[in-house]
Amino acid sequence: MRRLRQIGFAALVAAILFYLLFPLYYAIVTSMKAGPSLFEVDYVPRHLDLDNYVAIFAEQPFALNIANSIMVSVAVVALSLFLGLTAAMALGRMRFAGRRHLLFAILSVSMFPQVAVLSGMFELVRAVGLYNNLGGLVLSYLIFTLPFTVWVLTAFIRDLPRDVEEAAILDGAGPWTLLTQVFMPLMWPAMVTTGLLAFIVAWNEFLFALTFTLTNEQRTVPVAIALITGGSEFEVPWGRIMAASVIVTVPLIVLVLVFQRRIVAGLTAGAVKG
Amino acid sequence: MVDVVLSGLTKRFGDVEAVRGVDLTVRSGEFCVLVGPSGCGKSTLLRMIAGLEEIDGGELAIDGRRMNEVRPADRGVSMVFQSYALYPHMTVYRNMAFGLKLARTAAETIDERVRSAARTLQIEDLLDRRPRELSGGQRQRVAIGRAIVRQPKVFLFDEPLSNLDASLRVQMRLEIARLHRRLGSTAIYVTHDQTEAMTLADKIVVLNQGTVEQAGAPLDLYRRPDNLFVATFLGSPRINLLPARVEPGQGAMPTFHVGDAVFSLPASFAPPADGEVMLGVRPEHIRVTHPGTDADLTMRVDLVEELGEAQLLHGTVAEGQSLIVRYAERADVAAGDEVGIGFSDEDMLLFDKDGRRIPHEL
Repeated sequence: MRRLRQIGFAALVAAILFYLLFPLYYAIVTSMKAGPSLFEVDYVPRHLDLDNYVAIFAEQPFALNIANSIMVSVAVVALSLFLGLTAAMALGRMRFAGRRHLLFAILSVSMFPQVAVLSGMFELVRAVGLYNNLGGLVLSYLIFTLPFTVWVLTAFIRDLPRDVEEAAILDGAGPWTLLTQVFMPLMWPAMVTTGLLAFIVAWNEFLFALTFTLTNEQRTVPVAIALITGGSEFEVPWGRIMAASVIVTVPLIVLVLVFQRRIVAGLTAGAVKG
Repeated sequence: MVDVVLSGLTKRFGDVEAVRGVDLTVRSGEFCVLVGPSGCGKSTLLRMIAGLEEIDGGELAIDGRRMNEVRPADRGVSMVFQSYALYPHMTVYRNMAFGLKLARTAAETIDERVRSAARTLQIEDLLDRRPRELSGGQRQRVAIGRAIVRQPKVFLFDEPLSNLDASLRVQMRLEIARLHRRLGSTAIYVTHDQTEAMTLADKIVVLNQGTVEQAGAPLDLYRRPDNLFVATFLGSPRINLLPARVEPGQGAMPTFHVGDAVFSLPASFAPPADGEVMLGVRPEHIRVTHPGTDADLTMRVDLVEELGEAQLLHGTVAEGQSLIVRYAERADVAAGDEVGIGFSDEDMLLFDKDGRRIPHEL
């Protein structure tokens, strides 16, 4: 009976892992194929053919697109954390009228479907002169990242001991010193978690990136991949698309692996008081 | 060396008045203990002095200067918290240096002060550790050290020993007393523990429901409490209270009655109005005798608690009034025995029906 349960458990885990990892694996296999062989179903790569990987860099400014993506994502993370932290400080630590309503207003921003805000955001981006500019993307991505950043950081900052804050006040710390020298060092897990999530959101975002950019030089990776063209208009270059997809997945995997321990700490923090 | 003067301090939380017009003067170098049951406003009062709570009414002056609007850090006070409130991510050294650094003190001065405070508190070996690597007692020393290095005019302690175990608490209590003697600075100390209050204080302030019930030297409060609240709050085991009735006696002397026993009211009492009074006698002031001989009342012993140096006799007198006697003479008394008890005039406290003590000329 016990053995059976162990086997059942292992089978379940295997099924879940397969479901999660198969698409990525299949992308890797496909990225090494070219021409008609694309349409044969293979589960193991026949030969190690990196032509597609070379081609995406040679035929279009894919390196530039990656650089764009990195710039946008890093800027989004930095801005989200800065604004999130300062907002959390106010929302979590200071008493003022309408604090709860403000928190829920922030949350409700993330409830609208992306398409609903698209046209309004487009006007906004044009009005501030950031159309076809990476800055426009950074600005628009903040509406996805700020709600959860503010919420998670507010919850976290609220759980920090009040006495420590008061001790710091008596030691002469103003709000800024309090935030940067007392709270922030205690908040790394939450900041790493929210920062990483913000990075993933910005890295993978497609709709705004497609709408707010015009030229290939300003595009981020998801859009660039979607617009990879084949030899003729009747050919969808699956090999290259897959090669590009694999390349852009790697940074995310590396980031998650590097910060893995901190993420777990951040996701559970707030639930149990340290 | 500075006076702290509170005049008519008031604090409201919504509709609740937590502190109601407190007047208090803490003289320079004095160790003042604020004591009272939980919710009496003692911590709020301390936090108002620290600047962590706004003052809704009245005035706070330190060293003759109005402090109501002054930033906490500029009031010249340091506070030691119940939870220690150390900065978890800083070493002991940085914990102690943090306030001085923010005040832009020169690095050599900081180093000198931190090391000298560490020497005083015997935590020199711990300077590179982080709070989580320290025991409770060590953390509290660091917290005190952090208060010392700022060289405040006034030390504020908010129940600093409550998180320590019993033996450590006694030890730290002594150290705080010694430290205060050495530094000679003014200290205001909040506790709900009356032993801490009695042992540490030059002046005890008993608070109840946001007002001062009585302030004064520990022994004065113990011996001559102004009212029933102070009488019952100080002293362990609690003071015995027996309802009594005052009647105009034969001749000039009024008498008062506890159950069937009749006492003539000692002449030293200012004659109270006729009627119901409360007689208070501390457990250690009750004499135990053989029933009938030189006894005022007869007590039936229900339970004997052995303390080692004395026994506590729990018993009942007439009409089921329960009584505790601290009996140091080690005679054989067992549960079920009847003993005679008596008390001297000077140990009796009489309270009128509003709980105020009827003055007693000694």
